[in-house]
Amino acid sequence: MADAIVIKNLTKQYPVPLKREVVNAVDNLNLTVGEGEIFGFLGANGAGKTTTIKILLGLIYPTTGDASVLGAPAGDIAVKQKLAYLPESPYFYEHMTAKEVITFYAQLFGMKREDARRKAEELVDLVGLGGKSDVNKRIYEFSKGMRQRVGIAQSLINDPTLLFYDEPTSGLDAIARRDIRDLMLYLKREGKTMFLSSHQLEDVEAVCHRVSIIHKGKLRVLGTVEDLLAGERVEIVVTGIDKAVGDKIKAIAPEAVIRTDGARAQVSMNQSDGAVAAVVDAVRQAHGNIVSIVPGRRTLEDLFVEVVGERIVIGDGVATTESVTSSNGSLGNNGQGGTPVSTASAADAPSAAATPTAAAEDAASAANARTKPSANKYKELHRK
Amino acid sequence: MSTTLVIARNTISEALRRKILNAFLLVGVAMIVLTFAFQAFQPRQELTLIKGMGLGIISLAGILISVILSINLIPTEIERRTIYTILSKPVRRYEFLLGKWGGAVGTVFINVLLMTVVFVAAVAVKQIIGQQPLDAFALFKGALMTYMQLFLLCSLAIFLSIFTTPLINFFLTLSLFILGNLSSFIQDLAKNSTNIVLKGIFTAVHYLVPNFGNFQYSNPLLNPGVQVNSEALFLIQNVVYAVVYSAVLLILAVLAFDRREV
Repeated sequence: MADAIVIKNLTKQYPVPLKREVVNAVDNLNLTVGEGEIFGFLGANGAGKTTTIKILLGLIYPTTGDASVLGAPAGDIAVKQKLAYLPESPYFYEHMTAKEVITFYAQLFGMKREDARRKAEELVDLVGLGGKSDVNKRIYEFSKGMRQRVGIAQSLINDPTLLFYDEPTSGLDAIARRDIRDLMLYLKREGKTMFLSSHQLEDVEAVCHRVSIIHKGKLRVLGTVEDLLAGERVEIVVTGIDKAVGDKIKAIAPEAVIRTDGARAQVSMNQSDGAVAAVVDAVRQAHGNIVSIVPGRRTLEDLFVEVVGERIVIGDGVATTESVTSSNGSLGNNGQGGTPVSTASAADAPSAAATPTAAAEDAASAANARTKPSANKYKELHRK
Repeated sequence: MSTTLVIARNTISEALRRKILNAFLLVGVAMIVLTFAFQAFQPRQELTLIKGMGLGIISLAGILISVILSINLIPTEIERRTIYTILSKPVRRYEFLLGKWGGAVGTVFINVLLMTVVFVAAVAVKQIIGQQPLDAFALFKGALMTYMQLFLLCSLAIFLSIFTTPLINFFLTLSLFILGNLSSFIQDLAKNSTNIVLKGIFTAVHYLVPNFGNFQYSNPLLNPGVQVNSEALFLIQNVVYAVVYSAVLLILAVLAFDRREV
């Protein structure tokens, strides 16, 4: 699989006003994103996400390092024909209607006015702004969600190969968020490449093949969703065992925690093939039943908080921050920068992510059948 | 349609909806119409007054519209982040900048044209009523010179907007406009100055600051006795001067904007 985005030793520095100092907005970043991959780019506010996206789009320039997009240097005009960008809280010309805005952007792709108008009509309809009550509204009359829909529509004008979405669901209500997540899932199925920056970690978890977390400009975590979220514990639910079996389990796995609820017992233990198999054998030998064996799985939010989390500590009237990152740096290279926790390559991404994300995708697709027509409309639109 | 024209047309459409610019236009038109109220003078004096005031009003309203529009065009795009969605499309930076400039000079053209049409109509009506020779259409030449002056002013303001904030740019552009109108006077100061440093400064200012005073064409319009040696040459020279000077400013602006971070 070819690489859609290659970032090598990318650093972006800004001078600190009135001081002879610079601050690293992006610090020696190395990344590759494969074609057809949905890549989650996470980080706290000010971590350097938008700066990186702006460099990739050629809006700003790196201090050192290189970035290439679809095989060309970042900012290449020919490549921009295949790109889409949805900025965080997009702004548009306030006096225009949604259709006029999309027509304007379509003309920037070299479309003739009539074609641009036709495309705008279709896209405005696709994102749900084609109704009678909205079609004549000016952008200044739009809610945040409606503006975001305009942003989505403008990002689909050119049937892009690579999409940069910066906080696409920021500030949206649950319905609008779900619609946008469905669209992202649809784009994923269509084989589009997406560089997604978002604080909605559930969406990222559901949509992305791989995720990275940057903190203070440095890459802290990179890997497939499956690898990063795999837990170290396993939960075994059994019935029909007595105290003797419980003692046997404790002997096999001394760290195991056993909770009983009537005839059911829940065993929480470290995940290791030998120990789990031994516990299963012990239960079977005692003629107990194995109800379920569920590998523990942490959420992306847990991981995110571990990596970038800082909490405010107020003591003696002074507020300070302290890191909640685990002290042993088990998530990788906290404080050292550079080496990511997982070095799964871009080429591995779709297959590596297939199991958990495909399941999540299917579940989301099934649950959100209501929005499928809009995804189909998008497909039809670009077939035309 | 080329990208530059698309951006220019969009800029005009947005600018024509800006209330403050429309206010200047309306006040300008209203003041021209109000010159009809002058009754206290002899017909010839009255016409001279109307012509003088009309050209002055077009120039003043045009200056305010040009400066306020041009100083804000690019900084507002950056501040409102509308530039992100434009430059992430296949739009070169120079196309964006030229489109914005085209929008500015296009908007100013529409405004000056509207005021001029009202002005010429007002003078023509006066001349017809007063049974005087109809020379109102000659006023278009004065309006053309005013427009070329504003054309250059827009280019200067857009060039400066790459480096400065709108507030600083407002005062800087107006200061340079005033200095440029005093260009001949500054040239005289340079000639007559004995201090070599002052002489150098005056000479530099004379040559670097656009000569906005070149575009004064009210005298021959107001006083039929004043003759311009070669009117066509005068008009062409000034148009070429404005176009060439603007081209230089725009080339410098494009070079600076190309490396500017947005």
